[in-house]
Amino acid sequence: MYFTSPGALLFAATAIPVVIFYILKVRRRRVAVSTVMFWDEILDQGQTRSIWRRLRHIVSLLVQLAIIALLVFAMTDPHIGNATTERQRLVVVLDASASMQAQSDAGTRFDAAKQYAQQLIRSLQPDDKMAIVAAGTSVTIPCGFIDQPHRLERALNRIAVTDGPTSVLAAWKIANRIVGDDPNAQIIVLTDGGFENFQSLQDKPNVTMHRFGQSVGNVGITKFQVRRDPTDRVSYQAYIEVINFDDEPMACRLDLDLGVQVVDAIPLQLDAGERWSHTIQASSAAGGILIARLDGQDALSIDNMARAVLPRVVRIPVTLVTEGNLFLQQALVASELVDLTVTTTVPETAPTGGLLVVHKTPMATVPAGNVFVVHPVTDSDHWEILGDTEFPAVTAQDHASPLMRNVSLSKILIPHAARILPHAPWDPLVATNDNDPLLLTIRRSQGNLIVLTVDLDEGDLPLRTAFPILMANALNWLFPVTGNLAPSVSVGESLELTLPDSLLDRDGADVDDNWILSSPDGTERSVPATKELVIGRLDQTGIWHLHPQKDPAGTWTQQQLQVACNLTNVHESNLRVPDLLSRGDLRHTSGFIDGPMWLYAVSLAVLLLFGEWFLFQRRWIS
Amino acid sequence: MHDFWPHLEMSRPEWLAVFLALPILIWWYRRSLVDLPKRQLRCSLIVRSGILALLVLALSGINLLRPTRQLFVVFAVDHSLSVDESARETAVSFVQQATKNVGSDSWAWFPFAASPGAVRTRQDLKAESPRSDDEALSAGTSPHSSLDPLRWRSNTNLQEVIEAAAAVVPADAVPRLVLLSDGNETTGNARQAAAAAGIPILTVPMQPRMAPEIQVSKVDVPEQVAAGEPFRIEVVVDANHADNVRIEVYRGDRRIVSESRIVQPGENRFVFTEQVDQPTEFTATISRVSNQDRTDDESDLSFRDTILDNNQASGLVFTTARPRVLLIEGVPELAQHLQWAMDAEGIDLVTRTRDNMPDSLAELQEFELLMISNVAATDLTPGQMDMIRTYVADLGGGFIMLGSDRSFGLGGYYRTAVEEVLPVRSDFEKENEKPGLGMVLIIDRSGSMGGPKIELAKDAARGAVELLGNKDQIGVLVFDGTPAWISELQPLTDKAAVIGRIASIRADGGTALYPAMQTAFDALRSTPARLKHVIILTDGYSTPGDFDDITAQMAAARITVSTVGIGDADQQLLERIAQLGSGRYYFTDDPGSIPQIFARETIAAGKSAISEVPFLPQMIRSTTVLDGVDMESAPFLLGYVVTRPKPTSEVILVTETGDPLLSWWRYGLGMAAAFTSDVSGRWSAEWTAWDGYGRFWAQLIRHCMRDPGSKGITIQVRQGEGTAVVQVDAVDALGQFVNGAFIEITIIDPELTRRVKRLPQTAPGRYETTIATDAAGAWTIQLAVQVDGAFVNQQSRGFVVGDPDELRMKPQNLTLLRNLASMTGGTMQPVPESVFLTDEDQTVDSIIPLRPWLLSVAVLLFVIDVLLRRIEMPRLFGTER
Repeated sequence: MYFTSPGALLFAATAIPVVIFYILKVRRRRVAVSTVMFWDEILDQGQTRSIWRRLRHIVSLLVQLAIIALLVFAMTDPHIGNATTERQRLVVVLDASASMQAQSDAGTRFDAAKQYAQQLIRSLQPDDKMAIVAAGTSVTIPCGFIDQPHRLERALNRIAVTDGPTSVLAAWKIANRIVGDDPNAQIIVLTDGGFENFQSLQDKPNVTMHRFGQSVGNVGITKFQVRRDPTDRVSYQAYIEVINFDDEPMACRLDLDLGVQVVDAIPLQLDAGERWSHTIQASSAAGGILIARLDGQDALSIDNMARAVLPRVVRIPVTLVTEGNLFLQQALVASELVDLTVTTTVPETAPTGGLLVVHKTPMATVPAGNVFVVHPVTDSDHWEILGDTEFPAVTAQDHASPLMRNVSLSKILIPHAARILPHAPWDPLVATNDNDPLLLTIRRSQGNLIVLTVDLDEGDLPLRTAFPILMANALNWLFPVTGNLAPSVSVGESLELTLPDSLLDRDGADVDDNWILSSPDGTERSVPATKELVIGRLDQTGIWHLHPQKDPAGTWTQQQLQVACNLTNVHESNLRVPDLLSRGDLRHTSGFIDGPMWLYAVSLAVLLLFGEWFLFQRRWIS
Repeated sequence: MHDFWPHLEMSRPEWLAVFLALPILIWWYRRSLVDLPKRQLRCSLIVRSGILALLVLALSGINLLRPTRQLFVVFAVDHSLSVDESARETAVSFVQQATKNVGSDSWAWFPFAASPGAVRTRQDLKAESPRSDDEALSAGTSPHSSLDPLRWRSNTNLQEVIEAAAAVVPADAVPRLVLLSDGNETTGNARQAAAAAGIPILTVPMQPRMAPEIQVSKVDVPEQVAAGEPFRIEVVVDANHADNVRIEVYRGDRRIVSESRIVQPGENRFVFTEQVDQPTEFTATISRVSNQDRTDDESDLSFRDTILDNNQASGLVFTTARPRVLLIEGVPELAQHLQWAMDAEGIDLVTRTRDNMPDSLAELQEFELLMISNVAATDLTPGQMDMIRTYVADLGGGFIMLGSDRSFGLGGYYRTAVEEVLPVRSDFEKENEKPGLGMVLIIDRSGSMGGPKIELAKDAARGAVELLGNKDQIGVLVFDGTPAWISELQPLTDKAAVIGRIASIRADGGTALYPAMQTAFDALRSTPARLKHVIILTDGYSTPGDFDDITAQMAAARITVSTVGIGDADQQLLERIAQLGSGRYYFTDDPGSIPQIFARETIAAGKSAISEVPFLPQMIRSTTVLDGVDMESAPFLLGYVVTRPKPTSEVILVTETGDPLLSWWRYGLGMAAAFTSDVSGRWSAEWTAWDGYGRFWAQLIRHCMRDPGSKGITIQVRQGEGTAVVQVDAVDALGQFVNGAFIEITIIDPELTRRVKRLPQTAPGRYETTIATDAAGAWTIQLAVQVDGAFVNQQSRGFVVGDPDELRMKPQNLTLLRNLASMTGGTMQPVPESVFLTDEDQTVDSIIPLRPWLLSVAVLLFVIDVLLRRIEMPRLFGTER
């Protein structure tokens, strides 16, 4: 044993006055009394108690000296061990990854690891130094090398477990940097081993690994992505993978909800270790947050839920110029994404981001933008009318064209069609036996132009199912589904985003304004405003929002830029604990149970002070 | 403003509960039996309470927290190659100026490049060079000692230096990082590290390399081109001065460009055009222009370059895989011309005999197109014909049938699955030109023909009837012990009636062929038809007869005889009859093939299915497919098989009589074509010598074949730091996502080591994986896609992992330096004197434990406590009790 502050032993000198006080004969007071008649009796009793009286004084002295001794002892801050050697340099790497959230009866793995770290701190001797490195989604150093246990404890208490994958290997690199060249320094890794290559750490000479948690079964969602269908803008597919990380079969149910709408509920019967994957197809134009949930309780709840953002489908403004054709109107309205305006005059341009359908209406110049002409009746700048053709037979059809998907016009009665000669390069999609195009696209720089020469007022084309399909194909071709995957990222990943110009150029926006990234728990961080954005690492599961710092026009809605973040990490969901070194004994213990020796000395002194006070007041001692 | 006042904290506040026991002291004091003055006793109580209070506070771990603004500044100085040497001197002088009047603050010098170097604190530097801080600093600027300095300097990792700086700063000082760099990080993510470290970063931009430098930054080539397709190679040369250089471009080992060019400061792009047939690596180098090549104008421009390692760069071009075409050729030696032509056109033509026709779709799937030549329907099993239909209709494969006397109708394809696929019909009707055919079908109806055999024979007979025209005559004669007309030889004016009578045939009785032949001969002899033919179908041994004689008589009467044996038929006899009768002999174990044999026989007997008049092909429909093929110059073809186009097929070439020569149509997902003349046989001898021969066939094959390149499979390779993400998006022919596919990539690294990796599905229609690309050079990946166990796609891609970006000339990355400063609360470009200015908001608490003081006071108080209780002090406390 050695004393950290041996100078405090000087305070032992305070025992001298106490002893002097003991030796000092208390001078008896002179008091006038009326009789001494009873004194003899008392003096007689005093004779019988003289042994105890002497003893009583000694006990009194001893108690007082004991109190002084305990306090002086505490002041020296005693420690067991050798004072001159074995100064410890410890770096504690605390795994704060998602798998450390795994629950057991005694709390989470993280709690247990933290408690162990606390014990390590309390076992530190004076001049021992410790640093703490937290290995969560990213590596942080809550406390650099320091010899103050209070500070270490404070830093330890501030560390919170994260939702992300562990970065123990990166943390070990940082810990090595903290250790520097000190050959005696030790890196203590407190982990459940839920990461790749943990064996490589075990072999390092200066690393001690301690295991927390027991192997438990867990069923988790390990992949979840939603994607708009490439051929049908309203449909979407969701890909989900669930793994049973248990050595026993498990039964559970997978619920899929889009907002309040139930999409699917799938009962799962998973064998031990089974990896189940499935693609679910559904449709929604409004989009929203698609949530997959596994029912049932297991040790890790964070992987029982995954979210994905299903982007809203942009509606298409369509202007129909016609004297009246209900079939055409209905075929356009059949697409639930069309905002249809019907008019009789040809506008100067097609609606922005939309389509102009001109039916049987004279037009000298084809307006700029996307235009679909049905049954042209007069010459225009893009074609010349050569006349009419009666009962044309369809002999050629470009089946490869996306405009002709699932459409065949060969058996359709067409009494009338216009014969046109395009002025610009064109591609026939359906042609007659005379090589006259019935459906064609004309290439031009001002926008796409599709021409259907068939007279809809006669014949059975509008009555056939091919007609609405043809119109839907045209809409899909003109407005291809873009950005159909709003990826759900795994925690700890970064996401590269290209902001659409429409967001950057919105009203009142300043190019230099930063963007704000809000995490699911509401904390915000600033992101530099660039078209190509890298956000991350995302360290919480849930929905992240990106919004401009300033929105003077007040047009921003939170749904515009959302990113779903899920655990979806096989290593974190797998709660089987590898066979690492088990929990070891602490190298030094300065306290008997928990805490330093001075604590016990002072506690004992407090008890003695109470005891001595009682004995003194009750005159058991003097 | 941050609270700069000291404050208290307790590490074990639970010990304060002991205060609750203090009333016990008072209670005992109240019940005291001690004979001391009251006031002295009360004073004693106060002192005792005080002692206990001090001890309880000590137990509760009370500490005084005093905020300190003591700084620990880490000067991280970029030693990477991208930073100019002079800038490092500027950095030293910046640090010297900043540290001139530091006072008690601490600082450290921290060189870094690819990784953080050794940290030297102010004390370390002093110990190394004890004279002055300035000299110490100059001495301490040596970089990392344990690494090859050049390799160490070939990268910039700001992330690690920020993380390491956070680890270097002791916990009881206010951390501050001064980052002196050009901001061009080549690995790591500095922003991430800065956000996590929470240290204010002051950034000082350093000047990038100034020494004269020219480099080849990039060779820009398309990832994938079609074989033979011209494409652009862009050589990007960066220079920081005007110079004259020799640019050389190598295609593999062969030099294809060597030109002297003037480069201007900044980015220069030099464009060359090339075309390749196979994956090729293009390497561009720059070097000094030799003196003899130098013109007078350029004489003042001498090649000035400091780093020579960056004078070379590569790019990898992949060609779409050579399409594989399977040709089933009945006479393989005829395929040679086509084979040579296709080799030259970059098409892998695999020729097999008809016996080696694939039996499984999986095998057929390896090819983009199937061509059939000189293969009759009877050479194929019904299963194989169904497979061809599925291959074209459902799997998008291409199919071309070539003309020969075993093709189309002559090959017996009438009413088969293959005929369905073809854009032409085999049942031609050219009544005017057709010579009258008189045909007798002699069908064995003995007992052994019972069951499916007789039914198929009836089918075959019906088929034959359907194939014949109005002017033809047909008789159906059955025999058992004796012959009997089912339908007498008569002009075929009422096909339905004949077909109806055929249905009545029943199997029964013995096998006497001779009388049947005699009956047929008698009937045919008296008929006026120009062509006379007998088809005999039997499955057994006939009772004896003079077969040679009757056959010879028939031959003399220009009646041809073909024989079809099934199962246990007397093969020898039938073969002999066919030989003597100038007909064909067929033997089959499979009664299912009888209808094809009959159809073939019927059409062959009619002879009109073949036209052997030389003709020039006429193009009746212009098509881009034959662009570049001069059909005007096409020589004569000597014959073709007569067919009829189906209504929706596209007929491109016709014969002079208007019969289709080349026609195609889309069948299901695939494309099928019919070329009714042959490819290099007896009809097209002149064509093989024609200039356009190879091109004609190559373009036709490319038009009809399944697109080997895409088929809805898109590969993207994104290169990162030491990794590449391979992402595959798969959609089927209908545009639907392909889910549950099995996708594997074979990765071939620059050392040609191969490894295979699976791409797991990550989203609907998406599969991805990350591969480590740790070696510089050309990497190749080959992708194989299987859906439901069948290969549907194979593609190759490549990319070049170049030298580190460190050697690229880049301006300072001020955006990054500004971001790092702003996101951490630091500043960019601070004046040196401001580095150590304390910030009111940045403090660290220094902890002063109060326990020793509390205990000391408690001990002293205890002495007083003893004194108070031991000695009565009436003067001080009076005597009142």
